[in-house]
Amino acid sequence: MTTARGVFVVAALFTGVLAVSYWFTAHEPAGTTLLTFMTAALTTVAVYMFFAQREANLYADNPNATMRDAAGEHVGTFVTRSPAPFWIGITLTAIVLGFVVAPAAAGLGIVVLLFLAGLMIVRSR
Amino acid sequence: MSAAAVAPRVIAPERHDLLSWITTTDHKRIGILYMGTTLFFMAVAGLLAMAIRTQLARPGETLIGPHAYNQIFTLHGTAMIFLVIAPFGLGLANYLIPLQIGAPDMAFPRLNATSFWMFLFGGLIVFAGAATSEGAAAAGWTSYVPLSEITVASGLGQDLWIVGIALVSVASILTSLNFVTTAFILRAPGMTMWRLPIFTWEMIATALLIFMAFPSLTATLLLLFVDRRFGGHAFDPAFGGSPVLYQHLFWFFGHPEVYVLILPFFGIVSEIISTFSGRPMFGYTGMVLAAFAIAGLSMGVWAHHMFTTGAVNNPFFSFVSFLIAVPTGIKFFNWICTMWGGAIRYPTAMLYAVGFLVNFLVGGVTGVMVASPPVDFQAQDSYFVVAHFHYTIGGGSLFALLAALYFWWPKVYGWMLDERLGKIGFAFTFIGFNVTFMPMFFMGLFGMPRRIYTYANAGALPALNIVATAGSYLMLIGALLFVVNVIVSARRRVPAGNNPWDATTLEWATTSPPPEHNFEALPPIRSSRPLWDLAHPRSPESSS
Amino acid sequence: MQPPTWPALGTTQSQMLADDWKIFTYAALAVAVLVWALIAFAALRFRRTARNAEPRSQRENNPALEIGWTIAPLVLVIALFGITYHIENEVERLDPNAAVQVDVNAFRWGWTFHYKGGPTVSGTSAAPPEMVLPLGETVALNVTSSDVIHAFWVPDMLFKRDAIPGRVTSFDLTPSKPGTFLGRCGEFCGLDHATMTFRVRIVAPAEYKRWLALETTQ
Repeated sequence: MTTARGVFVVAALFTGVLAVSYWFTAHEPAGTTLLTFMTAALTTVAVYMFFAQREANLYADNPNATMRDAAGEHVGTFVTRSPAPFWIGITLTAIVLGFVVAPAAAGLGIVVLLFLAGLMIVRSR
Repeated sequence: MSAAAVAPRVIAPERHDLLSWITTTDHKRIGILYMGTTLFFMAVAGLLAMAIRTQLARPGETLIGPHAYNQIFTLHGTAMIFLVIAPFGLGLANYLIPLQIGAPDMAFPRLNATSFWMFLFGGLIVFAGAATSEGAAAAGWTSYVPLSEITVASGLGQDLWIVGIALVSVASILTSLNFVTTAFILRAPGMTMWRLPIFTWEMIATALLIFMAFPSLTATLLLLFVDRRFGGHAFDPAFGGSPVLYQHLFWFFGHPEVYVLILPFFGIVSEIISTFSGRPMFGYTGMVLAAFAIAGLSMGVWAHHMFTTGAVNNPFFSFVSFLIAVPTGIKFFNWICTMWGGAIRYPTAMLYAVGFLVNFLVGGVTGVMVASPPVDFQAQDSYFVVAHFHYTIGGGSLFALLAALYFWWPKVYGWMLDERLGKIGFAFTFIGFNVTFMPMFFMGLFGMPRRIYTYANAGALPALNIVATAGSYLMLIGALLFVVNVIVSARRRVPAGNNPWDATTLEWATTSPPPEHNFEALPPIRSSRPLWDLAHPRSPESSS
Repeated sequence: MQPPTWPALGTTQSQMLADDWKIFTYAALAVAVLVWALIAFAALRFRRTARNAEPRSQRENNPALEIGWTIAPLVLVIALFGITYHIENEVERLDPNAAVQVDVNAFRWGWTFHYKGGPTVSGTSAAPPEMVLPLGETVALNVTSSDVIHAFWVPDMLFKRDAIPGRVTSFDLTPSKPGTFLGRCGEFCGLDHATMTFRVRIVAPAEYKRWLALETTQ
């Protein structure tokens, strides 16, 4: 995971340099704020990955690993089909259309969405 | 053969009815849904382009008036950028990333499917504006304020545009989440990060860009919507706001967006060139680092779209924009060196990949030109810049898109597309493209603004425009030839086999099309070209 | 009036802008021709034929080459930036003692030119207004808009500047060639964006004075 972590560390450092050099060259608050938020977001992920690396011991990162090494382990189950995505899509569409046409309906849509989310969580237990 | 990965017991055979497509969470099906939807939107946006070119063929043409014309170019740009090029890259990545890394699916299959439905419905909402009484959004794909404010654009079409694009925007962020997690966590044993195919690396960089840029778009759309419908004044100078603020927020997203539009296609071209040259990707490390250099630098150039406002620090943005030419050049030289010393085969996919190199080069060098503010003072908002971005997105991304269709179609469907029709289509598309867009550099230099529905019968513009329109009709023929190719090839069904192109990455190690769980068995992974290693065994002492 | 073709370069600033155009066009062409040549050579010379049936080698790095093609373009773009920076500063220099000052207001869909201490000329798409300026004297323009964003663009001067509501943007023009030049709106502003034109007429200083006196009395 070192490389993966490196992606976020380098990105955070780079955007930090960009934010600082932008402020001192242009003194422009909107762009500086955007760049600073971006740096903060990338730093958050990079810090997380320092903690994540401790537990991650992926067969993938071992250049001499074989399929046999990983065979037999049951690490999880992949969902193969679900009606939820389609219905979430429909509900989100109804919500955004509601904002355009009738904000009250949008509010109702959000309630429906939360109910669906709750249903999914309960059923997946 | 190698030790097999455990294949899960197949409990139920794969179904092919409509319900199975609506409830699918299989990344391959979702990828097909994405790519099919983008081809549909491309047909619509392409017809809109034909309308534009037909209207502009002659000065003073009255076929399309300004009210309709403004909607047409707005929808053309919006669709091509948000609903065609970007999602095609995301859709292809959806299909390929798990296969290329040796995984059975994406990390979050249901989230993956949800993103697709959000994208589809978002796109339909944008076009639904055309059915409203005042028509679809007509403020350009950039939707500048005050032009898109409620006082100027009072119709529902603009609101529908905003919420539709917001849905697409959130969908893209969720998809990128999936890509990065999958690429980091679900790689097969031995598939270290530095053995990933270049396409997967480019998609990781693309996903990173989407994380950094799209939240700004979503926030900007929200601000605009609040301004329009809930009494906000974020961009209103009378209340202390600024239209320039909108441009900062929009282009902070908008510039990384154009790299979202090209990085997946860099990846496509890399795979195709190395396959048909029979050589590994030259300078693999440089290609990966260059992708991230481009992504990082692209976050710092947004106001080069604002050089003519007089409101930004032009030298900062000019300098960083020039810097992007360096990693882009690195990629070009790597592609050329991949071909160098090879034994290059030229099926249609390779023709489009070389066409990409020829065309994107024009887009790239003219990009360096407009990165110079003194040039941009003339070029901005003129046909010069229209030519520049069509050479990068059209001559670049679109050509790579077509290359990808010809290259991976056999893997997805199990049968080959006809090569002769493909090559004829390539000829029409390549010639038509250049005839359409090369004259536009001169149109812009000579003073033709963009986003105009007509022009005066004076000077060189009438001649240049009729030539451009003629080119667009050649491109139309090329597009129709692709459709004919699909129909003809679907009848013939020439079987593809696992690896018709003798390619080297993992997606070619399984059947065409792959089973639902992707792989029955995986070869050992000791380099970025597992199938090459399989066919060219080394002595036990040497290392990869 | 000059039709849309190679720009006539009606100001001293446009001479410098044209120099920048030339430098960048030549650089772009040189790079494009070089890389096209490399692409064409690689694509044709290394085609698979009976004689060239297998790739010559599977070599995938050449560190010297890779460093070279990183450093050389970097040097090139830094040089190009230096040129750009210099020319832009020259072009955007403001003369505090400009002889003529014109306030430009763009609106949907026309233009108003208010000469400080002088007349106001206004017009719309149907009857485009004409801005008369004296040859050889620096004119300070202050551009704004009263509704959406427009842009003051005279292609023959290779120059445009956005007209933004709530902001006044200033720049100088020093006319160097007599004649009448077409001006256009250079930022999409709605229905009549295509026809929102104006004219800039450069005349000898004496004739400018006469025009000024005539306009002011009207």
